[in-house]
Amino acid sequence: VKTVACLVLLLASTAGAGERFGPSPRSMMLEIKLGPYVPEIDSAFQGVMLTPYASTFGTPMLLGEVEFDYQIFQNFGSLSAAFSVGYAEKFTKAREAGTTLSSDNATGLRLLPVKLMAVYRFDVLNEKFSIPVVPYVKAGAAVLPWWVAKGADIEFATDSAGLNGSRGQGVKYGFTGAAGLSLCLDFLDRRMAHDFDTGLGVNHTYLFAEFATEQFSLFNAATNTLPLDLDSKHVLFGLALEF
Amino acid sequence: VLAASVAQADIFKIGRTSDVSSDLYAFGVNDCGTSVPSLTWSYTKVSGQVCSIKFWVTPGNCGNEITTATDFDLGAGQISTTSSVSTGTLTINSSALKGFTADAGCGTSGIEVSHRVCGVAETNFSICGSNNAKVSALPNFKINYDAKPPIQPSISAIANEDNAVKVSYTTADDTAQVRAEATPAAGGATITATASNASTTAGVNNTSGFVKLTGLQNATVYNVVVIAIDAAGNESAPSVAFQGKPTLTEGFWAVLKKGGTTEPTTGCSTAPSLAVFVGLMLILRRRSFT
Repeated sequence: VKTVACLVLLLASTAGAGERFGPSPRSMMLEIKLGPYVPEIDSAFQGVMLTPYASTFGTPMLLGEVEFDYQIFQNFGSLSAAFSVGYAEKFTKAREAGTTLSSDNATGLRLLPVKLMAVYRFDVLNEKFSIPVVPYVKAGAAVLPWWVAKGADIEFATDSAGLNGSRGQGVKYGFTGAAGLSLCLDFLDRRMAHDFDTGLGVNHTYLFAEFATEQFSLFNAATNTLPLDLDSKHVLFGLALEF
Repeated sequence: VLAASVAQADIFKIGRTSDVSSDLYAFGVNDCGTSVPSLTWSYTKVSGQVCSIKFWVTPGNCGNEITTATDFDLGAGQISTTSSVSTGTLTINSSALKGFTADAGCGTSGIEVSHRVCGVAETNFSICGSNNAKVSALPNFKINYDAKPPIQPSISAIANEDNAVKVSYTTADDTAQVRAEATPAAGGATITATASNASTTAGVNNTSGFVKLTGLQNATVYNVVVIAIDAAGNESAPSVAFQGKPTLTEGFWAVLKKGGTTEPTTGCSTAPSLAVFVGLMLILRRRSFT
């Protein structure tokens, strides 16, 4: 009887200890994400029935982004300030001048989107009711350095009249927004998730998908009828760690 | 046994003074009679003492002792009494090497003669005497007289680029460099470019790589050859000539420009959006964490 009583007391004390040590404080989020990316370059050519991006590259670019969020408000959901850096590139063979024949020179478009955003995550369902879905929205400013390479250099080209020569590089400024849904993976193994928190301070691990858009046209009024349109709408998939 | 155990831990090296990690000096016909680039030796003692250090050059294998009849004696090394590391330099004149014969001396074309620079240190854990252990310098530094040109290389492909051609080649293993030459088929000045063969992909019996010839005229036909050069400076016969024709190419930017795209040179800064963002953050920051 004494042994049983001791075991009961021991279990009771262990359970009590587990309750005393709750989750660690959370204030940050790290996202790593990938997705296909097609800038809307061809949309500016619809009137003249040209598709320079599609006819040159054919398939989407691959965009990779890393985002860091700092939570400044936690009550009904969380609100964060976020900074993200991405990179996308697409390469193909340059064409021989005046023809559609492929040459041995490579040409490529490179983009380096940098964003500063506010992020709201409706994590009440996950935090209060253990329903592992977290919808969220993002909005902010975006800066997009871009450049076009031919061979090892940034390409210099003129218009069809041989005039207005310029190098294929620049910077775009605009807005960005996104809406997504995160799936909290903690329910797959709650003990491992708890250990991840106590050992490394990672509160939650998420898989997510988001629809994102960048709009640069507002800040970059065209100087003629066919601007280089790098607006985009795309879907990204990724992994996020909240800590 | 104790002396041998000490010797196994010691480090004895000979290398080029300008590149101590190098264990080879190759020279050709034009270098006969000149000095081999200065060599540096070093002996790092772990424990015990170094009794003596001797050096010599042999056309065969080093062994532990100099063979007077065939080897060239470089004398003894100075052992440091204040440091565990002894160092010194060795000066060798190519004319003193004994691997050459009367019929095939230094300056003879089409032959290769190898020598090794040997060093042996005698060490002892206690008192130097008859039971000294012998430590050889490793790896043996090699001095190769190489008057054989590399095997003729071959061009595997030529890619025509904008004001340039990229020449892909295959050549023999002992090739240190490859030089490509382009001469206008209609006559004119030859343009050359040289590439190190060190970065090429080694095959079983050959290596491959590429050399890029730039500064060429578009729409001009060039006869292109490559020449392999070994470490001793011997040049192979030129490869069979291939023809290349640099071609004006249009990248994505040219495609856009021809289509009428003009990137705006002015535009609003990102300041308005940043101002909105920062203002929003400041308002929300006033609220505390829960």
